[in-house]
Amino acid sequence: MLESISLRKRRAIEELSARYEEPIWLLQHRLKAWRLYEDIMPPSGAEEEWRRTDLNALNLEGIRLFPSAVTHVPAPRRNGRNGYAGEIVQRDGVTLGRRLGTDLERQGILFSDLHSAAREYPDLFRAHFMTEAVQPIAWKFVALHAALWRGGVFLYVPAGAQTTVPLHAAVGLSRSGGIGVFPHTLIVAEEGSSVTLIEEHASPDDEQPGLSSGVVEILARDGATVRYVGVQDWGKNVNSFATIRAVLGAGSRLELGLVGSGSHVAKDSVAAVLGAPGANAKIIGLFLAGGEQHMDYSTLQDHRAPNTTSDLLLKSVLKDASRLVWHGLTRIRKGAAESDANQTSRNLLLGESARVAPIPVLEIEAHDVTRCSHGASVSSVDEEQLYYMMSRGLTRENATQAIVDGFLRQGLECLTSIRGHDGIGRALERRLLAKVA
Amino acid sequence: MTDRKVTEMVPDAYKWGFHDEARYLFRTEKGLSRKVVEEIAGIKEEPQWMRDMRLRALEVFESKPMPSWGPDLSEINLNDMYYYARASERPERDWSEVPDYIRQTFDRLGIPEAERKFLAGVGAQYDSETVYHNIRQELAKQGVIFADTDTAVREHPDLVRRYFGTVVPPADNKFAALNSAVWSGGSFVYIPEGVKVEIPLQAYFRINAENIGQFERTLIIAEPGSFVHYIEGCTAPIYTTNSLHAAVVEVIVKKGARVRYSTVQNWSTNVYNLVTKRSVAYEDAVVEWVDGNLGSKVTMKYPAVYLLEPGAHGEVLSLSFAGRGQHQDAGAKAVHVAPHTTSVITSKSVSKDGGRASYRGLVRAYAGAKGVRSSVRCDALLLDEHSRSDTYPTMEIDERDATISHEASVSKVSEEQLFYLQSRGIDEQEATKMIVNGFVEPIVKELPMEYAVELNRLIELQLEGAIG
Repeated sequence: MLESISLRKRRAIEELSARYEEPIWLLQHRLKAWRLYEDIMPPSGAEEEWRRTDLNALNLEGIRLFPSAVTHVPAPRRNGRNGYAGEIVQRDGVTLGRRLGTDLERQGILFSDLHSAAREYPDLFRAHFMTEAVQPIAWKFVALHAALWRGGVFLYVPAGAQTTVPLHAAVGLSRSGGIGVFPHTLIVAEEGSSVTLIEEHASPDDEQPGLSSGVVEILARDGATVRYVGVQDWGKNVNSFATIRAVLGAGSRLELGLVGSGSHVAKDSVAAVLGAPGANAKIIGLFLAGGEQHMDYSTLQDHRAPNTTSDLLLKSVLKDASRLVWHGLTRIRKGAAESDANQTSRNLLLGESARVAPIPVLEIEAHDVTRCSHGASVSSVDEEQLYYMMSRGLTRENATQAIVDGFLRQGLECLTSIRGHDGIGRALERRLLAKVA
Repeated sequence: MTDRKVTEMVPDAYKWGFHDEARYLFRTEKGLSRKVVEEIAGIKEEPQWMRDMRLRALEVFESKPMPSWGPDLSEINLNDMYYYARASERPERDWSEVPDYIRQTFDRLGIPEAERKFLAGVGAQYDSETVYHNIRQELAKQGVIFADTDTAVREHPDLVRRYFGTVVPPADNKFAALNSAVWSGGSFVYIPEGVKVEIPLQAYFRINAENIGQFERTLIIAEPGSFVHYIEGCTAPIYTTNSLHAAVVEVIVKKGARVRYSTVQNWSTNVYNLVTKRSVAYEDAVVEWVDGNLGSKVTMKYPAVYLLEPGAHGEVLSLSFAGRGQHQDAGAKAVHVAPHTTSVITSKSVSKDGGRASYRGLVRAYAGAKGVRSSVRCDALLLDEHSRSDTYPTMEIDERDATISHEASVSKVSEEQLFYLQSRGIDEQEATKMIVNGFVEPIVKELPMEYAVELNRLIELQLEGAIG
């Protein structure tokens, strides 16, 4: 089956796998995924999920998928005051530094890059990596990801382990440009455990072209709480794709915060699978786009079991000629009685040529829903409000900024509650607010 | 005999499930072909332009795939169907001239009585052809035209040619193309400038034959400052095989005019109801679609308003009721092309006995359409665990200065509500009826009283089968 892969590609994948001393099953996994990637038809543009997004974003021309062997990169300066309980720093898929607080280590929490995890905890890794939450077949770029992933973050929280202080992963691109990165985050929170991870994706500047095709897998077992904040701030010449999927056990809780401000085209698919009774998911998205940026988010709140609840709030601020597309699906399957689901999308259009297409979809197969609702709104900065504030002596810019701040406040507060750590929160907040200034 | 058995199988007493032993004067052969289309055009002695349009539309129909989204249409057998059947010579102006057995059908449906009581004009279509058409003298004197569309092609060729196919071009979608190729019957309404028709005009569409498609074509033109309320009703017999109803409705509402278009669709549950309804609204014009979907096996219908000039306002009230084996894929579209246009969409759906009700909608604001306001509200009520409700709204907003909102909710008849009513001595069935009636009331009250009463009765009939 694998013979048809060109020898050159096969060699490159073998080399990549050997570089990280991967077991044979993992090499096979990569090769199969590459084969899938080649077999899966690219979207034609007629599909509902591609109708509004430029297929050119899928063009891999000029992107180095197989960067040459690891070049030495100086480790970033360690900042002891940043307050995280653990950290991983990666650039171009190479881990530059890692740290984990001793109290977390003592609780048996594992926090490392994925290559180390595959070597050091082979059984744990194999049992959870691309098995439950995301499989290589999801779509073409997930298959590509499964074939070429490097770096990655592995966070394993044993049953009952608890952390209140967040962990942090900083995943970046270097200045070399034209690199394809495939960040992969795997979080396993065993029964009754609790953990917070903040992950930031960023480029050194807005010039370098690049590609990111990432996967985030979250497995929250019965009674576990996982808080995850993903900040996507790639440079403006990077196209990025992400598949984020959480599978929730009985009575578990997911708090998912997504911040999108970077990339030329960003297309993300986010799913919370409420697979067991009492699971609860809260999703907050803040999207800030300007210039010619195009953001395309699909969300799925998949209620498969009784007494599950989900709540999604998306806020977008669109400047210039930027564009946001949101497909939000809430599905209440048969048997998911007493479920409660909500979706809210609020969009503020600041740019003369900004565009937004919110598409919230409900599919309800269960009769006994407690409540299922959604709302979407689109508006601009109210001239009357502006006038009022300007009459109080604010400049137009300041008044606009104040209105935008107010608009984002609710989302930011939700994010802060997810991060659960104020000191970190404010720095992030300041950066976000600076983006829309 | 077989029909009787089928009737017994139908869960809810469908009062209009009877059919006549039709005596057709002419019927095209089964299936669709260039020959069939030419035959239809030939029978109607149509002008060349219409014949050409039909043939072009046939090509479009053949080139377009079936819709890949929405309800399952795989059971429609387009080859095993009659596309044209005529049972009477011509539309009559007096019920006594209509062939007896057809008149009896409409008597049972209560149409002549309704005409006497509260309608300004009535059209009645039986399979492909209009059998009756009449309008009150005083309206005719004011220049109001209310005719079947075939008659209009002959008697008002310039008006028809000017507007026909301008709102829904044949290439718009597969079933609009099919309609354009084989259309027959439907209403043509022309309201001159400033004329306000205070009492409604009504058309009644009846499918009688088995395996037939009904493809009426309705065109309404409201000149500046005019008003009309047009009502249509639809029923069909119950057969074991499926029938197809693929209508096209075009409504042109000029400056300051207002048109209200109300539909109470109660096709039998073997009818595929795939209808394209669209209106264009010019400066300060108002279009209102009141769309009640109770019958049919599958309905795909999304009445649309294109708001082309400032001040135009569009409103859609959609009510659907999906019972056993039914899929109501109903909705609305508001396309804001011009600045300072507004739209309000309200949808209510009830699903029971495994029925599936979907809202599918579009709100679009083009760049430059400043000051647009649109609000959409969808509520769904699920009556049992086998039923399903879906909401597929799409918003495409290309203009910053727009205020758009969409809200939807899905709920069930709550135990608490039932308990409260039962504690007041109302039995469960009655209580459920009350809750459903309360739920649909905002839409039902927009219909003329006679229709509201009828609709409530229909809903009660539907509910009685299910609860007990």
